Parts: sequence; C-alpha cells; structure tokens
Amino acid sequence: MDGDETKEVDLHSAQPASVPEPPEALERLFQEHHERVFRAAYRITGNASDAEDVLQTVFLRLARREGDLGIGKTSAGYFHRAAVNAGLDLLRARRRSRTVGLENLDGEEDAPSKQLPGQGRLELRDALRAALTHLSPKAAEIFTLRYVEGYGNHEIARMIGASRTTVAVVLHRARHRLQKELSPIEGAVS
Amino acid sequence: MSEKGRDRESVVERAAEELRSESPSPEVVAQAAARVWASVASSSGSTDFDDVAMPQEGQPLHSCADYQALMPSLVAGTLSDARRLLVEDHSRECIPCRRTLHAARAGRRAEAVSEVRRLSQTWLRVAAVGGAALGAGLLAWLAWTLVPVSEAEMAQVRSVEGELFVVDDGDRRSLLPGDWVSAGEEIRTAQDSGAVMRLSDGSVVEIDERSSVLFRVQRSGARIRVGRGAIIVEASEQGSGHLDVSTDELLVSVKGTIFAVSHGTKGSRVSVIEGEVSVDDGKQEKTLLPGDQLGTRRAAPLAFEEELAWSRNVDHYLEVLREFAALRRDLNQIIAAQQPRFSTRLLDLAPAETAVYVAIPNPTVSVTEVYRLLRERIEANPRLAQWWQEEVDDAGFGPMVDRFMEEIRALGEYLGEEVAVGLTDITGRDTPSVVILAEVTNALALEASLEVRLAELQGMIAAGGDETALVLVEDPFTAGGAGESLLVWVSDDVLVAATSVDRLREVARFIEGEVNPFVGSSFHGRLAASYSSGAQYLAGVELASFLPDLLQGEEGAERRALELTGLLDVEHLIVEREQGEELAHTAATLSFTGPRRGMVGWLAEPAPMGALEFISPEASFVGAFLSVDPAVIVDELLAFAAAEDENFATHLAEVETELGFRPQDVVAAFGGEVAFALDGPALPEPSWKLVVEVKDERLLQNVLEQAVARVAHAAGDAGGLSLATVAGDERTYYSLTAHVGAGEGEGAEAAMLLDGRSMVYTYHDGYLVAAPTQAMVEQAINFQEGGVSFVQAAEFQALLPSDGYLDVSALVFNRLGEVLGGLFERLASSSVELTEEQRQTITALQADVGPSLHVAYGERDRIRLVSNGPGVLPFLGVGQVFGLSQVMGMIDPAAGSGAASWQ
Repeated sequence: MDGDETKEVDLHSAQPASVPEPPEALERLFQEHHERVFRAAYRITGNASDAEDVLQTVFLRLARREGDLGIGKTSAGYFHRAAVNAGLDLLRARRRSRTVGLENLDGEEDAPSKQLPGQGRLELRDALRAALTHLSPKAAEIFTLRYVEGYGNHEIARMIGASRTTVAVVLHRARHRLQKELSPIEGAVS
Repeated sequence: MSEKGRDRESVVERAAEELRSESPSPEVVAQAAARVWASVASSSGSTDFDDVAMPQEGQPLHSCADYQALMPSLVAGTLSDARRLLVEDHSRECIPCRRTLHAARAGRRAEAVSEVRRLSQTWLRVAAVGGAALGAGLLAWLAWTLVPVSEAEMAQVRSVEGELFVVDDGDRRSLLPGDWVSAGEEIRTAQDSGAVMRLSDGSVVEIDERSSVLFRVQRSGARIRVGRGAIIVEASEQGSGHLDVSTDELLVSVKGTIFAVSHGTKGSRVSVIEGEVSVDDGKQEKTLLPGDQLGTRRAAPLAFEEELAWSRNVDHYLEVLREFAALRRDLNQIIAAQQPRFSTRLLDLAPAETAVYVAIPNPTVSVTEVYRLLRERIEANPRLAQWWQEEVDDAGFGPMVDRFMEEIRALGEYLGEEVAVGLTDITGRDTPSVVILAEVTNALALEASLEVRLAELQGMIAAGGDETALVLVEDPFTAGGAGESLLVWVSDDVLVAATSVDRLREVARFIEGEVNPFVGSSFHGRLAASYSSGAQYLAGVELASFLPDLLQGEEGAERRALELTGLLDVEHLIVEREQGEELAHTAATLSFTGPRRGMVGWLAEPAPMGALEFISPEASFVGAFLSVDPAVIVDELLAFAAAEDENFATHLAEVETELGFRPQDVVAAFGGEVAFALDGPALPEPSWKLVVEVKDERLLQNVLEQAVARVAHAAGDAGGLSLATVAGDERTYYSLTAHVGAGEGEGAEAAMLLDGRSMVYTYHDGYLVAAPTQAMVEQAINFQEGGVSFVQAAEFQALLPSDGYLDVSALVFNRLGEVLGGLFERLASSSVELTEEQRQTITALQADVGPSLHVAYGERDRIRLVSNGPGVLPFLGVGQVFGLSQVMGMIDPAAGSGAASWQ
C-alpha cells in the first residue's frame, strides 16, 4: 500500500520549458503524494493506464484550485479519498458506456452473478470492481476506503464529515449488497 | 450468523484482499508520474487555443485547446472513458470550455434534425409551417444560451429598471437587456434603479439601486465583488466548483442557494434565504442556514422584510423563509405534544437495588411523527423538495433514511408510551447492570419483528466495531448469558432488555407477581411522587446508596470540608423536564436524610424578597437569595477554621484588634436578604446594583467607617479607601472610593482598574442600596417607592414556575443573551482578538438567547431547583459584562456614546 517504494521522479526534467512554472506548493504535493494516488487508483481500476488518468485528474483538479492548496487539502487522507473517488468514477463511466473496459473480464462486466465456476482470483477482483459500480457513489467510496485502503470507521467518518454510526450503517448495507452479488462465484474462487 | 452468511462475507473480504494485493512496479509508477507531472505543470500556463491538433490517446492534455479539440469526439461518443472523464471534469470548472462543449452538443442536435428532415419531408413541411414561430423561438433560445462566448462575456443583462452602466477609465456606458459584461468590468446601478444579471453558469444576480458590482472568473468558479449596495444571488449548482461573493470584509462561498449580500459604510451583511452558505470574515469561517444573518463591524442584524424589501421577488423570498420557519415551529409542536404521564407500571418492575432510574416518552413516536411531517412538507413544497434532494437524496442517503424510519416506526407501534432504564450495582468497583423496560401493546408482533430486526441491528453494531451481542430470550429462567450481551425478552405486555441474566430473571419474577422490595423504598416513593404530578422526562439517582462508598477514603481536612458542605447527608436527586412549545421546564430536587445542615442548610425557606423592589423591570440580570441568620453562617465558618488550624483563635484575635470589631458584630447588622442586578447600560461602566437587608443601620455604618479608617491608616501612602458623606434632599449618601497605588506583579493590572472607582450607597427602608453612582441609587429608591419594579416585570412573571410555592428562596433571572449576544458577535467580527473563553461565551449566549429564570426552594430536608427558558447556565455572561468597557475601548473610543442602544 502506501509503504510501497518507487524510484525518485525528476519532475523538473519532465516539465516543458515553454510553460510557466506551477506553484511550488503543487509541486511539493505532487512529490509527496503522487505515489499514494497512483497506487490507490491502480488497486481500484486494475491497470496502469487508468491509474495514470486518475493521477492526472486528481492533480489537475488541485491545480485549478490555485490558492486553495493549503490547510486541509494536504493530508494523505485527502489524496486517498480523491484517488478512490476518481477511480470509482472511471469504473462507473465504463459501466454506463458499456465499453467493457476491464480488459480481462469476459461477458457482461456489470453482471458478476453470471461469472462461471472455475474462474480464479482475477475474476474475483473484476467481479468486485463491477459490483462496486452498482453501489451508490457514497457507499462505494466508504467501502473502498474501509476494505481496500484500510481506513478505520472513525477516520472515514472524519474524512467524509459523517458520524461513525452512519459509516457503520452504510458499510453494513454495502457489504450485504456485495455479498449478494458475489455469492454466485464463491464456489469458483474458494 | 449462519454458516452461509459467514462464507458470503469471506468472499467479499477475499475480493477486497485481492484488490489490496495489486501493486504496480516502481518503474511503472515513476514513468506515469513523469508524464502526468508534465501535463499538470503545463496546464496552468498556455491559453493559446488555436491550431492545436487533437491529442492522441495516451498523450497528456496540457491546455484548454487540448480539451476543446477532444469535444467533437466526446459528443460523437468515440472518446475513451478515461478521456471523456477528463474532458467533462475540466468543462465543469472552465467556463470557456463549457461553452464550447455546449456549442458542440448544440451542433450535434442540429445534425440530428437535418437527418430527420431528409427522412420525412412531408412531416417536416407541416412542422415548418406550423412551427415557424417555434423554430424562431428555438433559434433565439439557442443564440441566448448556447452560442459560444469568450471568457470576456461573463454575465448578461436580463432586465434593467432605471439605469445600469459600466464605468471604464472614466467613461460611462449604459447597458441594456441582452448586453454582456466582461470579467473585470465594474457595473453600477443609478438611484431608483435595479437590474437582473445572469451569469454564464446560470446563476441569477439581482442588484439594488446605487450598487457597484464587479464579476471575476476564477478557476474554481465565478466571483462577484460587491463594492457597495446590495445584491441577491440565486446561485445555480456549481458542480465541483463554487460561486464566491466578496466585499471588503467577508467572503461568501456557495454551491447552490439563495442569499443576499449588502455592503456599506458601516460594514457588510449576509442574509441566507435558502440552502447553506459559508462565510469567511478573515478570522473565522461560519456556516449560515436559512433565516441566519451575519454582519461585520456595525452592520447589526436587520429584519428580513427590511433587508429584502427592495427586491422584486421579496414576497417569494419571504415565503421560502416562512416555510422553513413553519417547519421548525411544527417540529417543536410535535415534541411539545407529548403528554406528561401520571402513572406507570414500569417503576414497580425496576430491580430491587435500582440506584438510577430514567424514564422518557417512547422516542419512536416523536421520531416517526417528525419524519412524517417532514415528508408531508417536502411533498407540498417544491423548495423543500429541492433542499431534500440536494442534502439527502443526492448524497445517497435517501433510501437508507426511509428504511431506518420504517424500522423505527414498525418497532414503535408495538411499544407503549414510555421507556424506562434502571441501573443497579453502582459501587464504582463493577460495571453497572442496565435494565431497559417498555410496555408492549402487541407482544406477538413485536417478538416477530425483533427476530428479524435484531439480526440486522446486530450487523450494524458489529460493523461499527462493537462486540455486544443482542440475544432474543424465549425464557429468562433458562437463558444463559456471558460476555458483553444484551438479553432481550418480551413477556405478554412488557419488553425487558438487560445486560445481566440475574437482573433479567429478577424483573421476570416481578412481572409474574413476586413482591418487589423496591416499591416500598423512599427512592421509589420520590419517583412515584414525581409521576403523580406529571412526568415527561424523569431521572432519579439514589445518591445515598453509593455516595458513602465513594467517599469512604476521605479523611481529615477533606472529610471536614465535605461535612461543612452538608452533602454527606444527601439522599436522592430527582430531575424532571418538560418540553413546551416555547419553553423548557426543568426541575431538580436534592433531598437529604434529615434536616439540611452545613452550607446546603444556609439557604432559607421561601419568603418574600423586598430587595427585588429596588430593581427596574428592564434589568438584564438579577440574582437574589435568602439566607438563614448570617450569625449562624459565621459561627459555622469560624468553627470549621478553628478545626483546621489550631492557631486560628490567636490569629482571629489579632485581626479583631486590628480592625476594632468582631465578625459577629458585623453580621449582626445584616438581615439574610441579598439582591444583585445589572440594571441599566452595560457601557461605559456596567450599571450594577446591590441591595442588602440591614437590621441595624447605625451599627453597620459605624463598623464600615472604622474599617475604612483603619485600612487607610494601614495603607499609608500606598493608597487605601476613603469614605465621603454627601447630603441629599431626603437622606445621606456615602461614597466609598478605592485608592490603589501603582503596584507591580500579578495584581498590578487589577489595581489599575480599581484605582479611583467609587461605590455610592445609602440606607432606605431597612436595606443598604449600593450602585456606581448616586443617581443610580436614587433611581433604585424611586422604583421601590413607586411600586413598579422587577417583581411586576411581565417576562419575569411569565417565567415563574406554576407550583405550590408563593415565594422562592433564591432566584437568577438572566436575559443577557438578548442584550449582549449581538454586541459580542460584533466584537467577534471586529479586529479585537478575543480569548477562547470569550468566544465560548459568545457561542453559549447565541444559543441561549431569550430570558431564563432559575429559582430554588429550600425546604427542611430538600432543595428544589426549577429552570424555565432556554438558558442552562444561570450566570452566563455576567463576568463578561465587567470586561466590556476595556474591550470596547480597544476597538471604539466612542463606544460609550452608543451604550444606551444596547439596552
């Protein structure tokens, strides 16, 4: 997860000389958090291309805030949440456009109940990604933060500005819904 | 949980684990980061949109031109999902790109129309003839809303009354409906003029006469700057951005709502009509809701009718406000509609060793009733429906709220009107046992419902990290219970939930008819007495059952201090609360095992208070009490001091020699009645009054004169006290003045504040009357002689509790929230740095606006306290009054001139 290492990126060498310098604060934030965002997005979307788009989306949104890069926007939680939401947006967009973006998924990706026995861990991952798009955006976000990104209920409640009870209730219902959707393939992956 | 359920859960967890295990290589991360940073770094720069080819898939999007180049593909549906997301997201926050996208989509619609025309010429001819007017209208509408405009075209004039013009380098250019205003151009309305503007994001801005407004574009959305005058903004949904309105003194940020901003010489003011608004005045950020106002400097709150009177839509806005106010009033009525209960079966079923008993009305009734009313209002009012949609449904909580309310309603239907909770085993050593009791109207239905819902509730509790198990018990006498569990049992007519199987079985035996020893106890008797006079919310604690255990280790000085308080004799504390439509009524009774003694015994029994007659009906704070004979109090204090210090008698003799009198001599001059009031302007000096009952004026005055002379003699050049006599028309006034030298150290500041301060007093009708000035003392006596005083004040009379007492032993009347709340708020928005304590006081005062009355009745073996009104803390704000003159001096040297207006 966050502790994963990567080699240092030379950001200055990657920046075109013909455009103005971005704010220092943005550069510092990118240095500090790009790996966190990319890896979280990779876990959600399942491929590097999409994760890169998520990374770009997150920091472009941040860049447009101009002077609003300060307090409250710099925490790891903020970037985790931003990556999760952008990643989930991408999954949902795929489902709406019916372009079957999950490269390794056979058949209707939004119908995990049709997964056949015998499929393995890859199918399990893709089935969960597809099932997440059936949840409400808020429920999908809370579930992902809790079970994929490993935040506690209390931290999630603080991040989204809700009570712990609300988070617990939403999680309970989300897990119940996902259980129902994934149960047809449980024999295939056990 | 079933075996199958556990398996399904593990599938979800395994799937999540699979996602967690996916990790790209460091090389992949590094390469992606380099590409993305190149894109991000360049995005803030280039604005040259022309002649840029469509970026290829995988190529970073650098500028608006890149995004605009992809828009035809987006409209055609050929763009990849990832690219489409990027373009749509950028277009939501970038006005030029949004316009370009609108135009692209409009063009696509035109193509579709052409296609239809080729396929159905006959139909189109009919449509062309019959719909020519419609077509012209459509074209006009397209031109109005969809034709691409540059960033310079920021807002369009919708209507003008009188004159609207742009000022640019001294030139004055009139604006007409349809004209565009560029970002950065300042527009003004003339006298008796007004205008309505529409921003490119759909927001509508109504401008009052003599106003100056400037529009700007930011990356996060539009910003409207109000140089002077007033505007009302109906902000459209802002997507991921926000609309800002600023003045010199504050910044208002909104997503989609209706609010007014005005700015003038005396400050700025924000008034919220609908939705939620965030206001930042440079020091703190506040959230305002419908009906809320915030003003800076001297911009005090103003009635909405007046604030919005200039608007052409004033009736509509006031209707919206009224709707929210009506909703709030109806909700209060529902809560207040709960009738007090005059008897209960649950009290007789409480465990024998119950030490804490709490009874409340069945909460499901009011919760479901409130929700029903809310839904009715939402159905009937589109404004409320929109608010609900934005705040609840769009957040994904709508179905969950409906389901939760349905479950509450279903459960509540089977329960009686009251729920009681009893605690036993409160020794401080063990975890107390909890027993919950509720009468049941339909046991079979409730049991069936619980079988279904307990499992679901259990799931919610487990998801929240709590390991408490909910167990539905069929037979309490055979049930087991271990660990953290709540055992739930439904008898024929009572629901019992207990954390201990022993307590569950005990209650079950009482239900089956076994005699409950609790019923004959004095604690039960006190609670039953509360029911007999009507109980809505009731709580009782049998302090005698565990307080001795808790205080067992206290010895020596601590023990003697506790004995002096008299609290060792305490038996019960009973608290009752009734929520009316306007007022909350709270009563607490502290009873003792015998006659009150020690400090709790110093409060006299209820009797008339003549001291209150010296206070005006307009007083903002009044505190008064009756004590037992002051000689008794002094004797007890001296005895306590002598027990603490074996040399006390020697020290006391020295002091008595020094002062020339004994403490007993002084108190012999006083009666037992004291009243203190803040009765007049708070500035420049607080107008306080002190009225003390005096039995022997000559003795008291003699003692005072001796004391002042000895203090002055002892102080020498360092200062001291002086007492002057001023002969009045009918009586003699005495002026006591402090002369404090310029000291150093901790007390230096306080000494400076005291130096030169005077107190004037006189004697009248058996009372010493003191105030800062002779005029105020004379005024106090006039009230007493005139027969119209605080005792007759309508607000005071309205708050007096209806009970069997004719008089009280002590009272605190406080309406400082009304008087000082607005003043403190203005202080908070000024440049003065307030302390955290002062800020907390402001917050508490704002919450407690409205007068409150707290009274105490001292009886032989109990003290009863009753509170009426919103205020919880009787003395809230009093201390701050005395710090006002210093604080106000820091921000406004002329503050004193306006003091009268704050009364």
